[in-house]
Amino acid sequence: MQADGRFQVRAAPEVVFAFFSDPRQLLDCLDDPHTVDSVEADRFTGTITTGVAFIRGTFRFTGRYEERIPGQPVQARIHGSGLGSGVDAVLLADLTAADPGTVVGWRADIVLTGPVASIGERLVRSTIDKKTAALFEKARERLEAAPPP
Amino acid sequence: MTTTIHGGIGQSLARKEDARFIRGKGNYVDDIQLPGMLFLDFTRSPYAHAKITAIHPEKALKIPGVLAVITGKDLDAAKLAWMPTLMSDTQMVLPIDTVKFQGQEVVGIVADSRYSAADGAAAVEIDYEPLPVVTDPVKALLPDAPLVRPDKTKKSNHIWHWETGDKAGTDAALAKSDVVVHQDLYLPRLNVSSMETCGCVAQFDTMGRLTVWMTTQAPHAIRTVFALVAGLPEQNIRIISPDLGGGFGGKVPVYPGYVVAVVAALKTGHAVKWVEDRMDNLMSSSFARDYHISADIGATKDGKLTGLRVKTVADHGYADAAANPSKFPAGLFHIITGSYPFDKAFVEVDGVYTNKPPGGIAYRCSFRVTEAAFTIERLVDGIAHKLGMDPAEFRLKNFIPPESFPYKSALGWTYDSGNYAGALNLAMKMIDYPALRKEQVEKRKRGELMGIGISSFTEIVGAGPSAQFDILGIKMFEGCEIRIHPTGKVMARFGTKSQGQGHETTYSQILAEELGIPAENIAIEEGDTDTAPYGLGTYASRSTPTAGAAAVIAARKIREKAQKIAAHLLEVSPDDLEWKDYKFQVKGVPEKSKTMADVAFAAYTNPAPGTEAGLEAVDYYDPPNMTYPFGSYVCVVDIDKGTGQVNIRRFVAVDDCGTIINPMIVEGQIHGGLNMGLAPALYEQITYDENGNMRGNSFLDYLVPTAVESPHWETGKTTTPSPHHPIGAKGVGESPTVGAPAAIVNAVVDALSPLGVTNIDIPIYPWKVWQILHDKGQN
Amino acid sequence: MASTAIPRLTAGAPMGGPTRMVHITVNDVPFAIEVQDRTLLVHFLRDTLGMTGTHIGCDTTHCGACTVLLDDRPVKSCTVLAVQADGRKVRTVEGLESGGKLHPVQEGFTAEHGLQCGFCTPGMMMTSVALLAKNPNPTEDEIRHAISGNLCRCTGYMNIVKAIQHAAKASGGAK
Repeated sequence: MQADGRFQVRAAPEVVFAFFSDPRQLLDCLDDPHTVDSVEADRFTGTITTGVAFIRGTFRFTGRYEERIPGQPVQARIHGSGLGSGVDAVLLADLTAADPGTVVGWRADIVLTGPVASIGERLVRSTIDKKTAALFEKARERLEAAPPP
Repeated sequence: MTTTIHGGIGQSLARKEDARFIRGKGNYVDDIQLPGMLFLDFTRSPYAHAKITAIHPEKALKIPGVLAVITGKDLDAAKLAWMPTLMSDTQMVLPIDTVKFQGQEVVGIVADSRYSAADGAAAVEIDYEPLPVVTDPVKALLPDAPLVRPDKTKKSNHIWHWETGDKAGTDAALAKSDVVVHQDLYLPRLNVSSMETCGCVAQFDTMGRLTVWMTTQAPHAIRTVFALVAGLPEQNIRIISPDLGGGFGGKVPVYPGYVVAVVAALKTGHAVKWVEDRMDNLMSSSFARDYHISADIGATKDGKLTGLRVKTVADHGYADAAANPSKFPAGLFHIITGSYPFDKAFVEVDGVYTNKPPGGIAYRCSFRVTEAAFTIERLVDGIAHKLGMDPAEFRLKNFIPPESFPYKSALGWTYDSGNYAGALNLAMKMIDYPALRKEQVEKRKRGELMGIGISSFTEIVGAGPSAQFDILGIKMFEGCEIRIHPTGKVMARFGTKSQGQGHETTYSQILAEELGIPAENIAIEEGDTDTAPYGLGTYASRSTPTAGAAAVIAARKIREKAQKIAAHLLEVSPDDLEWKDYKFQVKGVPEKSKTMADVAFAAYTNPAPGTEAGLEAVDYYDPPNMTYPFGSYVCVVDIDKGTGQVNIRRFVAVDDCGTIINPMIVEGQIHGGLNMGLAPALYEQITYDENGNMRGNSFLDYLVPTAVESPHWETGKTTTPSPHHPIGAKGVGESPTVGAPAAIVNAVVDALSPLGVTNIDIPIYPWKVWQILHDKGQN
Repeated sequence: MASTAIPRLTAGAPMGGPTRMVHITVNDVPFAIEVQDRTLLVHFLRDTLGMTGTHIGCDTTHCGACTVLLDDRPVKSCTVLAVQADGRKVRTVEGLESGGKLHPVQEGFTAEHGLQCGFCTPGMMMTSVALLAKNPNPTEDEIRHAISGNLCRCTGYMNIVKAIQHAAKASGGAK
């Protein structure tokens, strides 16, 4: 399953890059209850409590930045498991300077397995669309609220 | 006037089993409570194919109430990680290092309550490395397909090839046929979804004797399999199949949960209960069907059938765990020539591995018989349509005529009896077929979509004669043991196991008729391997053809001995007596007689000289042939052009199951079977996405028909007794499931045929019909 | 196997999780019992009280095997918590027969062969009881809609409809 989108934020590309390169800042934009348990070099781990329809519970996840070079797209790979289910996602954010600020083009390639994928199949799509939209909207708000560098 | 006996054959005797069920006093597996009983649950695989790199049970073991975890490695140490399937393939009890389908049991958790066990199952952490997945059996046969079973010597997903018939002759017959119709058909994967899921309670007593209360349709076979697999002495194993909340084939296999529960009981010294929830059941209990069929049928231009060629890919999931007789990997699929006298026919099936749950069981039908009946009845309609002939007329022209029985089919079966035109003519009369066709002409002029579908199926049930039929070498006989107590009351035990069919009632009726003892004085017991005679169990409509016959023969053995005792009591020679009006009478002197109750009392108090005390008999019945029930169904549908909804307006089912023991029960069996014929035609299927995710693992998505979707079924009957069964009975529980889907689909295709439609894949969801109508500019 | 010593335990005494006292009257008998907060009503009936006539068929409120009457309204007890029944009246299949006399619905189900395996039967009968209390003389269509939340795999529903009509007639039909 794929999800993608594009938004413009009134913040410089370096600021946006720094934000997207920090799992704590990025994950803190999630509405769902979550923890970031460790961040070491390009790896991070944590939990997120979420669900689709009546299937709710806590996922553990491990993530790794595959690309994190200024001026290039940021790419992270996340593996999560919980509720007898699994999620494997590759997240990509491409930053381009714009006036004002930065245009962020993003894409998520998501593979779901287990009951979340099967029971919730008909509902997953809209849930993912809703949650990603909320995540990036909050990211935009935070970036714009941050004091200029 | 003929004398009758209370509860004899042919009476709609009220069911004996109802008394407990309507009071909530049934005894199903999950109702069993034992002191100190523990609960087993499983952590299941979210992946359809993955390597297990690590299992972390620590957090689970910290949960209050969680007592033990059991992994594949633990089982491997006891050589129990793998078990044989009924088809002599191998399947995992628990995986050692690789999972093969989504929902597979990976770790067993034993806890003091079902809640703690579920908490434990959720807390086990397992690291996986996903592997490439294949869920389409056709793709699985491609050279670069992921290998599902690298443990096998054959490095291919192809399991077996099976064929029968005259290939060259069939090719030639089709080549010179005036008309040939080719049709691809897919019978989707189904789950029987009995209202009770599978489960068991396993307990070792202090002397190491194992008792397992289990949802099984075949307790004796299970006992033997347990003895062979686990190496336990067979006399130390007792399998009890208590009340079953439906079976339909799904309770024939041995599931990993049963084995792990036994291991857990051995390990903990406690009784251990395992009961699937519905998601577990839909994701991992054995599936049915999943046959990809490609068929050709030929006829002359004046409408005589000439040849039938069928090629099939059978998706078995990751293990061939089908519940077929051992010599028939594709079951009795070669009943596919149906009710028609083909000179030439050829059928071949290839079994294939995919990353899906193992199986290949029936769905309320004899081994692969619905697949066969659906195919032939769809094809016959297709070729009649191509020839411009009425499908009823075409069938009547082609049926095997009644005088041809016993009839040897092109694929080797000897049909015992039949009167196919009789059933079809009755069904057409009941529904007023000519009036419907007239109405259809009028409606078509107005652009309304109405269809009439026929299915004239022939079944093959009652497996089976020992020369051909065995399961893991055990012949498919059936046992009955009768004991008549001194007061003339009867206890009879059987190796079969009712799952709702009403054996306690029908068996007592057979015995009432044969023994002259009222049915109310006859108790029937099944399902306890310590007490019941050996038998292969209840499935494939085999109980009446086999165990019913065993009951008759055992009763007649009793009569033989009873005649000597009666002669002793009447002070005549046994030869002077006749069995008439349910008692022994001195020939020509009917007032000098003795009832079976008189004889029974004497058997214990005043036995005849030279006869043993007691009045008991056992029979193990080896049927001389299969039985061949048949029927003709006519279905009328109206299609809503706006929504694509198919509305079944009328459905008439005429069945012929030979001699009827209890008309009320037979009618009930037909109603239920019709609903399980409706289900795959319009509602049920299990599909997988490309990652092997099962779509439809709850009743939210797996659409078992409710009372609202179910039509008001109309039934009729003809009676053509089986010539080789001692009372002429043939078996009935499954024929409607076999016959109904084609009638419904033929009706829908008939409705859409003016638009050029010749097939529509089942299940026929409204959106599929709507799409067709939309494409044809109809809405 | 990761565990070695297995303590002796008593079944039906779940450990862990917060508990609370509930007062529930089941078939006119009052019970005051400490349950885990998360105990489902169906498990309270089956495991705690040992009243196993109420069955579990699906866990997701689709099949209706667990239907009981809660203050005379049919509910699926697999998605009701025991604590939600606190202070209320529950009626189960075990409470249908009274004074040795079967309820008309029970009579109807056996007279019309409205059951086969018997697993859906208790829930189906409780829904029927609730239907007839509200609508003493329902049409076939009304019956089919009323029981559409109760799945039966054996009967094709034909004889269940007849059973409910039988009970309606025995109870005097249209009142």
